[in-house]
Amino acid sequence: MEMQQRKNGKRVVLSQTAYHQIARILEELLGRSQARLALFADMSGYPVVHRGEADTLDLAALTALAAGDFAATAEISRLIGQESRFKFLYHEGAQRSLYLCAVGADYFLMVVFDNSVALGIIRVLAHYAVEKISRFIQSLKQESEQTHQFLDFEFRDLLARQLDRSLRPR
Amino acid sequence: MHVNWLRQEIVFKIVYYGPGLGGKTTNLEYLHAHLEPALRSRLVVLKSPEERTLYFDFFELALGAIKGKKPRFHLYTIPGQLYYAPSRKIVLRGADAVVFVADSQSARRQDNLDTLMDLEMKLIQQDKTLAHFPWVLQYNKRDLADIEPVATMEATLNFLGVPHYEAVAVQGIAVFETLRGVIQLLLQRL
Repeated sequence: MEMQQRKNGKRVVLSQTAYHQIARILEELLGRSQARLALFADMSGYPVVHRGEADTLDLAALTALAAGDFAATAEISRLIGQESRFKFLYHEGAQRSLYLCAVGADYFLMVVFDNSVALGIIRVLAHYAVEKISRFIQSLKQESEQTHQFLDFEFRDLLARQLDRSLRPR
Repeated sequence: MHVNWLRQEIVFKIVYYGPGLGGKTTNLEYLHAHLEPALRSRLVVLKSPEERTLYFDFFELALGAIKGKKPRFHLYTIPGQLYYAPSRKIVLRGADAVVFVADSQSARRQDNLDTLMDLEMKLIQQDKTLAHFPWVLQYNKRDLADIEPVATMEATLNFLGVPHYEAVAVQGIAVFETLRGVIQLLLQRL
């Protein structure tokens, strides 16, 4: 499994090892915190890997909105005279709460947890997870051959035909 | 663009850009309402109290597997008003292609041009440029009375000769064609 990213205009790849390691870090976070969901995503709004209860969730919308949340609060941070964005965001609900942590400039970690779980525990464990994940992110390297394997001519041709069939008003 | 080998997914991000009240949200709403429900996620619409797009509108178009691989398209709009510039910058981040929705009304000529220049500036900040980026033009609101001739709009906005579509998004005219066109262009450029 490879996950591709563009960083500083260049395409880079998160290695298979790093991907599985991140998944393990999320599992560890869930196991130790009793949180419901841990999601690692990128600031462009793509969900990368998640662990926990996500069957009933629209992960695409959830990630897009969370990335928008970071975008809005980064601007708020700037407007109050701060050079860098907020390191974490916390939204407290009646039953469930949300904790969002930036992972470097390009990614973030989201943790959804019941209010029976102490925020302090989530904070500590989430930051511990972010530190570990960051080590793998730093090892990103430029690579584009994997995409060409995925997007060969036949795939592109079949995709174009399927789009022609599907993208019509019903 | 994201390739997720584990889930065998490839995800593209397409952004509808253009001046405020030009019809970007209308495009997305029409697409969402007229696509097969199995192909689309929930439509997320974040509007201000004045019914203007605040952050963005969004939905995911998920096609069936091709050779075991699942293509997905994330469709976003940006808020058109100038004072939401930071939101536009972020939504544009990582975009694989853009649909520029221009308002055909004569009074919006300068707004169209200003917003197109704003798009170029934001692309440059991402080490990209309109000259080497997949994008198409949609001349929207062709049903209204006081509109500019397409030739005039072409001369003003389409200095790079990209594909253009004459649309009435509120009636669905050329909405699907525009999306098909931008995706075809995107696939050609990969």
